Amino acid sequence: MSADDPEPSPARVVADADVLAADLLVGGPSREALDHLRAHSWTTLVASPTLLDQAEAVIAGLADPSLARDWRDRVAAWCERVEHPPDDHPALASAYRGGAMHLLTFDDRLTSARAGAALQGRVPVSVREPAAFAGLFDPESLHAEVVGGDYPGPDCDPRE
Amino acid sequence: MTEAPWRTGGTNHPPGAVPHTRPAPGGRWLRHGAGWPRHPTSTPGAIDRQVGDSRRRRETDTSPRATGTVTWEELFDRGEAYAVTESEIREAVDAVRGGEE
Repeated sequence: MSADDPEPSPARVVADADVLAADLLVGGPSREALDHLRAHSWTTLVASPTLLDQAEAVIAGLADPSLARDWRDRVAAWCERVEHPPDDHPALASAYRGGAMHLLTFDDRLTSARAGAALQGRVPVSVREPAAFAGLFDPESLHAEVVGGDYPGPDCDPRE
Repeated sequence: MTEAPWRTGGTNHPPGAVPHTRPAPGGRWLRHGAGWPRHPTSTPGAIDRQVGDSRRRRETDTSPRATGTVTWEELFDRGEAYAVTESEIREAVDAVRGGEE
């Protein structure tokens, strides 16, 4: 991590390519989790171009390239872009470089206890499936921690 | 045929026409535009400032309307039509990453 990288924050979140694609194509817990971010302007979705490239390729393959391009435009306007070395795992590296303390994924190689033990002490990130994140997300306490003051409620339309 | 007086000089207004000028405060008639406060857009540099403000709003506004992107609502409607499952997506991500390694 370099001096230019942002400080780790619980309001900064990375969604792996599978969660990004599931948000668009499936809904369910992925959308519920990301809706929390879309509805609160003081949270940040962090992603590298490589991570978005992979999600776009998955969407283009399972749906169609036109939808994938439109999705890419919309998500690029929303998320904060980070860079990382090309050989790094794009989701883990985005979290590490982008100061994200939450990583949402369906990849059981990342959510396993073994992976958690390997990451502990190296990367201050909590890896969870979207359903777990959506269930634990507490905007009032998070707002008090990262912004301060009374929680004013959602301040963005998550469908815009 | 007699030329209309407003075509032969002296005045540009036909008889009875309301002139384009209005009396300035105090009732004195002035030539067009004189004696009246300038409209904000007619002050020197005002147009440039307005264009700059508009450009800055576009550059900082990330709403779909400003960026020309579609809304999440529309994207979700289109995406759900493909009836894809989470396990299919997980396999596709592994395939994309496997292909890049």
